[in-house]
Amino acid sequence: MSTYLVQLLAGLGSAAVLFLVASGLTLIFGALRIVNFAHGSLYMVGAFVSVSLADAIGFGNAEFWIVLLLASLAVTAVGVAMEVSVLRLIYGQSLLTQLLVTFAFVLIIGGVVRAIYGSQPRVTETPPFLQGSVTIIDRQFPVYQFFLMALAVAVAIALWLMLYRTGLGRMVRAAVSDPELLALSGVNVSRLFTSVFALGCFFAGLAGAAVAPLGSVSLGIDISVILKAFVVVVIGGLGSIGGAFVGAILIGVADSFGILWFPETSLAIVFAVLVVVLMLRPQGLFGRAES
Amino acid sequence: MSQHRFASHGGDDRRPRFFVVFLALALLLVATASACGGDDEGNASGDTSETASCPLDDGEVNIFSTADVSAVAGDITPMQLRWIESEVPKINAAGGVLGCTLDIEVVDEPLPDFESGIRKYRAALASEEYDLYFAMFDSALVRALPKFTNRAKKILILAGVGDHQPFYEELEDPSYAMQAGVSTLGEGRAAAKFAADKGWKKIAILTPNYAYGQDVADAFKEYFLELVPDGEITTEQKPAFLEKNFQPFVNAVVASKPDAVFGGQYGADIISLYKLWKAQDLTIPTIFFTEQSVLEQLKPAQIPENSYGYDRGAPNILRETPRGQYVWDAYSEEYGTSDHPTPGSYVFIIDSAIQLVQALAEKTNGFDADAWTEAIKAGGFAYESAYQEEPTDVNHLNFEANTCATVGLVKFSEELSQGFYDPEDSAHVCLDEVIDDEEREELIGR
Repeated sequence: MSTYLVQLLAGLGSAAVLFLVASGLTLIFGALRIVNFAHGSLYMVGAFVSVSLADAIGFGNAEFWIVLLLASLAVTAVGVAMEVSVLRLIYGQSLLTQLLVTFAFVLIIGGVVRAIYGSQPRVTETPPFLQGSVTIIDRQFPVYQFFLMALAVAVAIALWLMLYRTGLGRMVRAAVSDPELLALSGVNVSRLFTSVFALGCFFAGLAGAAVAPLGSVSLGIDISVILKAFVVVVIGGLGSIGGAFVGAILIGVADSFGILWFPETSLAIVFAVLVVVLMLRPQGLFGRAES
Repeated sequence: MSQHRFASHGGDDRRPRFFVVFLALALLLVATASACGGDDEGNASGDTSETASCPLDDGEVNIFSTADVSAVAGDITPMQLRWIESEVPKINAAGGVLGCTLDIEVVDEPLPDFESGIRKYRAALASEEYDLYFAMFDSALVRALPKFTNRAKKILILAGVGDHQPFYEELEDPSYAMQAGVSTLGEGRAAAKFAADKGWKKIAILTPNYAYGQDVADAFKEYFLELVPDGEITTEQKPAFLEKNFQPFVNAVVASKPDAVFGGQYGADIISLYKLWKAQDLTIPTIFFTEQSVLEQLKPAQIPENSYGYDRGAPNILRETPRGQYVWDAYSEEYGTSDHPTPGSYVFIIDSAIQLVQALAEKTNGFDADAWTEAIKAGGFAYESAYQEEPTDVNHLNFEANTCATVGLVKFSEELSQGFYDPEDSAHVCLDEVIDDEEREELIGR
């Protein structure tokens, strides 16, 4: 019994990581209709910046929150620079153009990170209040995984409130429906898009900084994270925050039990879930069918 | 295309001023030694005659290799390049190899572009500019390379990669491929022997789902079950390299109740797993591929209880041999104040490859590929490496050097300020201890 329980919790922990990354990705796609392949790179920047900040100011309980905030803001700044300088030029362009341009950013950011940090993995501590584990029947389970789950839920709630209970959210939803009409009503759509992109980048940075204490930080984590994040976004429905949340849980838990029961084919299970969902609902669980 | 050429002349050295000064000093020393009638006994780079006449027309022995120059996969290639950069000028200052200037050209592959690597070797072969070839990094690439180098009758020396296929089930006849480092088979079996000697019977496999991880796990599993007939593999988990959250895998491993966990995990993944082990106070012994990049990163508080590792020769163990001590000292002298102050196992491997070149050239008095293989086939050929006190044998059947892997308890050294292998709880297992000629012949189908 304890084995299944901790495996379920581990699956939810993985789901939390996936949602933290996928939330920004799907937010940006939903509002700007851009497939940002460099989202994983921004996540990686957040992780590396958090290591630098932790080295500089320490990783005590209070410093941990400061590191999370500053790393997220640093990534936001990088994202805004990307959006203002290049990405806004390719809104409305073909998917291939978007993928090529954002993939160029993957290479550029990867090169810059390598130049700054070198190619060795970096390690950061876990803040004292999140160290250790709790006993679940007869098994130990790391406290930090619970923190990630709580953070993912907090991000989901914050995003929902922002989209459905604020003026910014109303404008974002209006921009998704008809950006030209919104512009005619006096809203600076360009600035609005930059704001949404910045918010998505903030969550990418937050995800990188939050996941960093879970293991180590190294080059390559950008690519390794983005593939499953895309799976989550597609399953949930492109642009749907709620869909990303449910998709992350579905993938995280399916992957976790696949690892336990079918270790040889656990990765295939993730993609089997994707195939089944797309067969039943090509637009994803919460996506709207394109007219 | 990134490219590094290391010789005592020409080339695009990264630190030309250093080389000019160094070369001038070295030449001055050589000239002084000659004038004083001194001998070369103190020359750790070999006793190459300064007056030897190079048998090659251009006066150079040119070696080509691709490697992970852009360091996509960490410090493995950079540490090899550091040793080449340090050692080759010394060899050339001492007269080169048989009087020929040694020139090692290392070109970025770039990883993981297998096709690009193949193209670069094929272009190098077609150019006929190179006398010898090294393979320094990519296992997948090296598995394919002998098909080209053998056809061209060119020597290919594995100087970093651990792949064992070209030397067993895929051994070609005639073959001109030689293994100067520790093979996947060697390290997997060394770890299996260590586990069996510990009395562990139930092993969980937790290894990355790519070629190296699978190969080393297969080598371990097969040999472990041979050594421990009532042994059991409790689960086989194959996470992706750089997995974000290992917790589901750790749960599955713990649930299988193993005596120990083995895997080809390395670099960042080991550190991630150590964190989870520590967070849950797990004491199940682990044996992971704990090489220099991990050892350098470890802090005392991060090493869980019962953390064992394997390496292609742990540096603190290899430095106990004369050649190992030379490499350790020379490397530390050159790079002791850098971010990588002590040599990793790959430094000893590239040194082994260079030593093998020198020894075969001296043995045959030339660079003819057939003469080199005949010298080994005749039996009893050995050269100086860091792996043993005595000369290292090269097997006459498949040209593998009797190199050694280290398996042992990983601890923290205050002196080195990094992880190290505890000599009190380590085994230095050489290839000939885990495979004999009878099995070799069986595996290569003779």
